[in-house]
Amino acid sequence: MFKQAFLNFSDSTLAVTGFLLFLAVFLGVLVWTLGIQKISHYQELAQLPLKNGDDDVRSK
Amino acid sequence: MNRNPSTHYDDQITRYFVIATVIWAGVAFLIGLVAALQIAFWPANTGLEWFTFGRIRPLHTNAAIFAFAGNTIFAGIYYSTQRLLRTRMFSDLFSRIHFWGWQLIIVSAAITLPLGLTQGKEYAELEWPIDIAITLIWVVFAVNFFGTLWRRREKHMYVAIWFYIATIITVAVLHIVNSMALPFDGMKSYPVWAGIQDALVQWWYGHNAVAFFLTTPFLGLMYYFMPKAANRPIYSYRLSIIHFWALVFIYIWAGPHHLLYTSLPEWAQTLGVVFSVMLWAPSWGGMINGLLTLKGAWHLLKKDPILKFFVAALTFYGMSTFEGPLLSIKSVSALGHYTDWIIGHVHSGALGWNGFMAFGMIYYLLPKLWKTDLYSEKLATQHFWLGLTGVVLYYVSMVVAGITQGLMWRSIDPTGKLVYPEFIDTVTKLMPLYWIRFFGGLLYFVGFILMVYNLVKSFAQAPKSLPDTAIANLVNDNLDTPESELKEPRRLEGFATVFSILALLAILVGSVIEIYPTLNISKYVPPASEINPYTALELEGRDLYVREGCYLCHSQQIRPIPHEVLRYGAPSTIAESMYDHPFQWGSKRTGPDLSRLGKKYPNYWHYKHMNDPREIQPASIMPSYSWLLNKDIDFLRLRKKVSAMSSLGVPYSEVERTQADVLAQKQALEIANDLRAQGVDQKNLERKEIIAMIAYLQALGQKAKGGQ
Repeated sequence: MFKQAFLNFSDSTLAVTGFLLFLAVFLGVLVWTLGIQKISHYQELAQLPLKNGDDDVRSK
Repeated sequence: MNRNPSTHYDDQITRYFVIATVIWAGVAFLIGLVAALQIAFWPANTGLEWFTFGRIRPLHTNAAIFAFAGNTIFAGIYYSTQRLLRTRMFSDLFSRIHFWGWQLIIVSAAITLPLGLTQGKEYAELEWPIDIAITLIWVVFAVNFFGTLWRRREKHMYVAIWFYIATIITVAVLHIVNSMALPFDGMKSYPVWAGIQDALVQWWYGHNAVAFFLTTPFLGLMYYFMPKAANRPIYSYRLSIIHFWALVFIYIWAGPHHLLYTSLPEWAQTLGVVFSVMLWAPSWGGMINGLLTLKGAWHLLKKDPILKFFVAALTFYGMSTFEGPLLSIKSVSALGHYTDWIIGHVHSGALGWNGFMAFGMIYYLLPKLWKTDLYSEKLATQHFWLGLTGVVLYYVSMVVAGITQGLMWRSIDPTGKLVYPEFIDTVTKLMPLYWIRFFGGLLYFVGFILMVYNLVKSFAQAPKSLPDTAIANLVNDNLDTPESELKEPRRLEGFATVFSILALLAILVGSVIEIYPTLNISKYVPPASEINPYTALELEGRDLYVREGCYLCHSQQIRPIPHEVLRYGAPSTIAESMYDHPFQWGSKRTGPDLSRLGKKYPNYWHYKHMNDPREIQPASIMPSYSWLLNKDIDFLRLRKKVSAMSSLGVPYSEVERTQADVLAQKQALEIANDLRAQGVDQKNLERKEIIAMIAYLQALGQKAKGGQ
């Protein structure tokens, strides 16, 4: 089936399909990131490197 | 089940990788300096075969990318991953296998490349046994990394971890696909890809080696170490998410911009250009995000050498990711491709972005890992300024050289003739700029030596015993929190497997769509333009061409641009390289294109030229290849070579396979006799490698059935 599908694809169809796929996913990520999530949540996540690391106690 | 009994981070493995980074940086920089000198001053090639530019240039690039940058990445990943996930690495044994295995691979490269054992594909030169070793060690690294993810105590994976995941997955895919080869003896092989397929696969790999070995892991390091050094969170975490997904989706498509105006189908070239230009947005978004982390704290930059390195690195990241898409626009590529502009571009990225990120990270890690203060901040600051001056001199000289040469190549007078028909005129013009480049590299190297001195003095004052750092917070937020209680994004980003599969899909979609059509090569090759394969002797000559790294200075691809057609002849076609395993289109013209070199000069010309290029062209900067006149051809090995090519689909007859040595000896004798008739008096001339090289050079552009 896949072979048949590929055989019927022209090169430009492949390129356009890929581009549209990319665009759709990218727009989805944009909407998800900028629109849906709360800023306070991101602020919390951004603190991760500062919380977990050099402030750890050192063993003797 | 207690998935995670660890109470301390493994700091020793990071120390190992930091030390390896410093050692290999010195090697990479020093060899680069020698290579730069060889271009400015040809006698620096020394006449030793393993020390000529064509042999050591791959050593320089491999040392810079896989040894210096590679160890930098591993040091940063091992340090930050453990802290971001609040756990020790999954397996200390795997960590050590990874470390020693990787160093062994680098040593193997350092031995085999100067010996001329190369696949002839840029940044993928290493031969098949080393390629297999790379795959195995990468798998060990991946298992160790994903095992660490599995037993992490922090549910959320910080964005730096995402970049590491994308790196590990994509590099594996790139390496396996591009390195597929058919071995014909213990250390030699032919790539399974040929001609246009090989070109596309190679630059899909080559471009994404830059993307996923020199960019995404370093961005991960930036997202961790920049906030640590500035002691403030990244400016916008949301922007970092968009930065990540945009890069992962876009980068993989951009490879064909290395093949503009070649015989690659137009649609694939356009696809490469469009996606390259799209890279401007996320790249600059990432740079701005990094720089704005210092918002309100720019005063720290005045005194802190670590922040100086990080800010300069980000600035170079911004510059080179602006310049990359610019160079991928077809009209700009027409000018800049094959010139030193590209060399300047890659070094602004490698020395400025990767180098400065590495130095900043090492200075940051030193007190943490060796429990001591840096010996001298003043020396670190001097290192920064020397390095910065060096990169700027290097970059500016090469951009000026590239644009100068590009403009000279394309100059056509009102009568329609080339203004500079002699290629050498466009080379001698650049000599002062090559010296400036060398001087810039020297400054960068001196800065590096200051760092080594500073580190050695710091190590001397470090305590003898260096215990691992204890993990302060052993609460397991990963296992102890039910999924239902997690916020939405933490669900997705908390699932390492799902996340990794999504990242894999993102890079696979672009890769398949880009590469699949070229696998159907017959679609693009008109049946009339069939090509004769190389004779056995020509094939041997071609292997010597690859061994000597000729492709690093000579292209074999004439673009359909007026000045190229005037200078070299008809544009190259897909058919002409359809049996080339590997393709030899090249990416740089320190010397002229050789696509149509065949029959242009007599055999005697090539004999004299290869022995001493100055005898033919007094101003030539090409190394002498006098050893080709003394070394014997291994005729018996030709049967294996022709059979291997035949297995890869090159149409050799039964006689050509089984009698490869006999046929080659016959052709060699004809060439040798011709040379003798011209006055060459050399014993056993027909057995020498120079004969095979001449046979190959005379075949270039001459293999079309029915004549060119």
